[in-house]
Amino acid sequence: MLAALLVAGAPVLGAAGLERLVGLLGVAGLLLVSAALAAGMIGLLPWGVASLGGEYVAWLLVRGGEVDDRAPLYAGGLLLVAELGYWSLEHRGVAVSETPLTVRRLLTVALAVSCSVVLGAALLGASAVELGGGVVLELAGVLGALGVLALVTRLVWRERREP
Amino acid sequence: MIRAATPKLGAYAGLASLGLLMALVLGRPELVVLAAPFALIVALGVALAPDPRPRLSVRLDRQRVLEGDEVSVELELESERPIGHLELLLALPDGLELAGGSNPVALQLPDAEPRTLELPLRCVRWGGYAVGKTTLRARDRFGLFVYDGELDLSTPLKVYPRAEALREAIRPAETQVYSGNQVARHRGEGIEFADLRPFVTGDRMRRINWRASARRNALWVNEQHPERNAEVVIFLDSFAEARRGESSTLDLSVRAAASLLAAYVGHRDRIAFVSFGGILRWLVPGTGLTQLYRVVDSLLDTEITLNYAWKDVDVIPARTLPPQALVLAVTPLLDERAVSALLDLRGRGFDLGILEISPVPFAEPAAGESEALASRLWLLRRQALRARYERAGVAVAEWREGTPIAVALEEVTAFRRSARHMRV
Repeated sequence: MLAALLVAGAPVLGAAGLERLVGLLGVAGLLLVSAALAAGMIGLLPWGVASLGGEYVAWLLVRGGEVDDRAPLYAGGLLLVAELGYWSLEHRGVAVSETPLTVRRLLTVALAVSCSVVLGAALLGASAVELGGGVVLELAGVLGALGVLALVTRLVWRERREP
Repeated sequence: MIRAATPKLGAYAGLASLGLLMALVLGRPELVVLAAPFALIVALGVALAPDPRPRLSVRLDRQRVLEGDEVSVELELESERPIGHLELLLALPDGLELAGGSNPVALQLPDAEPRTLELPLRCVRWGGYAVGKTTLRARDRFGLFVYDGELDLSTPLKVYPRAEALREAIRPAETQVYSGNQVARHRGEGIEFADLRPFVTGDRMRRINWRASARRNALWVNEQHPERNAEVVIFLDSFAEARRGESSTLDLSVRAAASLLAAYVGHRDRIAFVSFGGILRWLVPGTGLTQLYRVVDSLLDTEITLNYAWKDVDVIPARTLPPQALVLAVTPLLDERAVSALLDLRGRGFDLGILEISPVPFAEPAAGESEALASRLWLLRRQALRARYERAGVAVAEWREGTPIAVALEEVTAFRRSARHMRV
């Protein structure tokens, strides 16, 4: 919850006017995450994370202008909220975990968050490289994004249908 | 083990897709940055999904225990490949409870190293159990998949009722021909003095009572009661029970029956067992510890089976009820079929005693005037039933939890001193 609060608060900190309004999406995200954790409704958690992400997108759109350098940190924060939320919900009232197992999970979460920050920074860096632009590059980017999307969807679809 | 995707997989894939789509639509690279970690975790999770194959063995430190004792279950887990997260749940049947440790438990199995878990179990209730049905659930590193499996490595565990040590059991009216510890009513070779009679040709010299002979100026000899064994049939009524919480009249019946059986086997008597209820079970008479364990094993299978069919003593095999056997009924006297079967047995000339396992403590306290009246009527009906048995020469002694069985048995013995010659 603390992580979610930080993620929700980050875009609106020091904001004024219309930028403050995007905080409503953050509040909605906070409420959804709290409801998911309190009621043990695992289905609500991704909606909460999406709302927190939506708040950041809305803030980006309202602010406009250059690429935000804080995006990798925000991505790490969102991942942290999601990972800790799922951890909390998965092990609610089930098995008592041994200490090495808890430590291992904690390390995995820390590693995933750190990697996401590094990956985000690398991606932002790559996006800043001037390649001259053009329709071909734009098309390659769109096809690449769609390819990743299709790959992930296909993998998930296969796993869900053929356990 | 069966692999299944967790909700997290769908959620992460959805978040990644949403982020990438929005990035395409809005043309903001920050959204790719937001989506990338989720997409990467999904891709890594799917690509690196393990195939856990744990092996499990279950061992009990003892397979026969007494009610209230503790038994330790040893679970040995092994896997060729390391398993990062494995949850294990040992299914515990009703009557067994965990005395320590955690169940379920989550642990990790490092490479090729067997792990041993010890779970102490307390045997709360007598009965026959199968321990070892285990549910396993493994998770991958990212929590995107679960692998469920169930292993049935059941090991039998017998929990015997804790029997009360009885110094004296009810003496049967008639004994059998084999030697034992019961003093027979007839006269013959034995230790217990019975009477004096004049000497007749063929009497052994050692039996002459010289004092009596000197007083009477004729030879008189001692007569003795021989020591014989008896046949005892434990008749357990399993038609109905009164239950309150964890305790029931059936539990007390089984405990009382086990105490009686142990006492009669100690006296070298032959014991038989009839469980008369929805399911009829019986064991023909036998003697010794083997027979005791056989009967107690049979006792463990006793349960209340709901049945509306009318049953009388004709359904009991004749060789289970030998003539001149003492039939000791252990019953809560709740079911009309058992009540009339016992009267029928008495009518057929069996030496019968009843240990009534009182259902009264199991009845809900009466609330209100009408319930109090109903309760009084019920108690009066039970008294009338007891009087009916007593008129037929059958001793009925009530036994409740917390009082020694010996007290109830003494009541039966006291009644039988004066009523043993009654015939119906």
